[in-house]
Amino acid sequence: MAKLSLDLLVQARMLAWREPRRPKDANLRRSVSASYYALFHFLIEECTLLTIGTAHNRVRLRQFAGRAFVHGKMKAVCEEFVKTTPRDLLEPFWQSLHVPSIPDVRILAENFIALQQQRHAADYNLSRRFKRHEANRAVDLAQEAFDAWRRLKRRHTELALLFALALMLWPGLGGR
Amino acid sequence: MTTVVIPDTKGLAELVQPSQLAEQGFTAPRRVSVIFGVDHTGEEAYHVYLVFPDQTPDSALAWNNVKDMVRWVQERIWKADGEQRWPYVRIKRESEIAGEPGESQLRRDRLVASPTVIQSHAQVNRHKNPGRSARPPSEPS
Repeated sequence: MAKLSLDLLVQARMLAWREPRRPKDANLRRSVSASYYALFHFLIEECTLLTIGTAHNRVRLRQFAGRAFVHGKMKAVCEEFVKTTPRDLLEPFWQSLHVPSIPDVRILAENFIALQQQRHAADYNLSRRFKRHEANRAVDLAQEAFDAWRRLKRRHTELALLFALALMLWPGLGGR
Repeated sequence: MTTVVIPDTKGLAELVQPSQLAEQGFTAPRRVSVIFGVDHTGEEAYHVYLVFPDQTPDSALAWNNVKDMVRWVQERIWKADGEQRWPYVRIKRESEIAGEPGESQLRRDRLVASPTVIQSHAQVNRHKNPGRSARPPSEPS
């Protein structure tokens, strides 16, 4: 199954190591950005597969639903999912699904938030230089989040579905 | 009249100083700074810097080697702040703080970093690497 997200992560790794010595700032910045977008598109792909279905004839519906994901709202969802006490809308799920005790949702959420901030700095903050260890870390954060999601989907399907729905629907639900 | 509550960043910083990190078994940075500001979305946030000496190799700063410490610091500040403002925890070397949010505060923090902190850093690393001679980090300028 061809995945933009996986290719972006490969691209991020390549860019981080394109110059074995004296890496170019441009390549390290693009690497950090690619790591974030790898996770961003990974979550869209996975969440639409989970909510819309995996049938091939639903690919257009998944692409349509994928347009509902908003960077800032996704960050807000991630912040909710690392709270011990969420807003009232999510409170019943915290009790039934034991959300605070599931480390994989925390890893996924924390890594997304960190990567979004780093992507913003990579694309817009020209007053700082990036280092290779930072680009490498961004790749590792994205990969770790991929792995955390896969475990979450396997071991805590209901929670994965809740997370997917929250990411997709937060533009409408976030104000409640 | 609107009351503005200024977060106690000094109090938060005291929760995650190198000595506390060493107690948790982490390879402690030279110094830790907690700076209140806003993030890329304009929301209030903390910028937390775990600052290592310039001679720290990339391998020591790799995610696998620092992630437990980063998560511990993040959680400690998140909980202490009542889960309100996200703590962005960054791993940096001294020479890498240019252009970061709160740079001027970071530079002031470097100047006031006490010899005790620097000495405890050297002691921690000597304990963790008994076969290597401990080189104290360079003095702050």
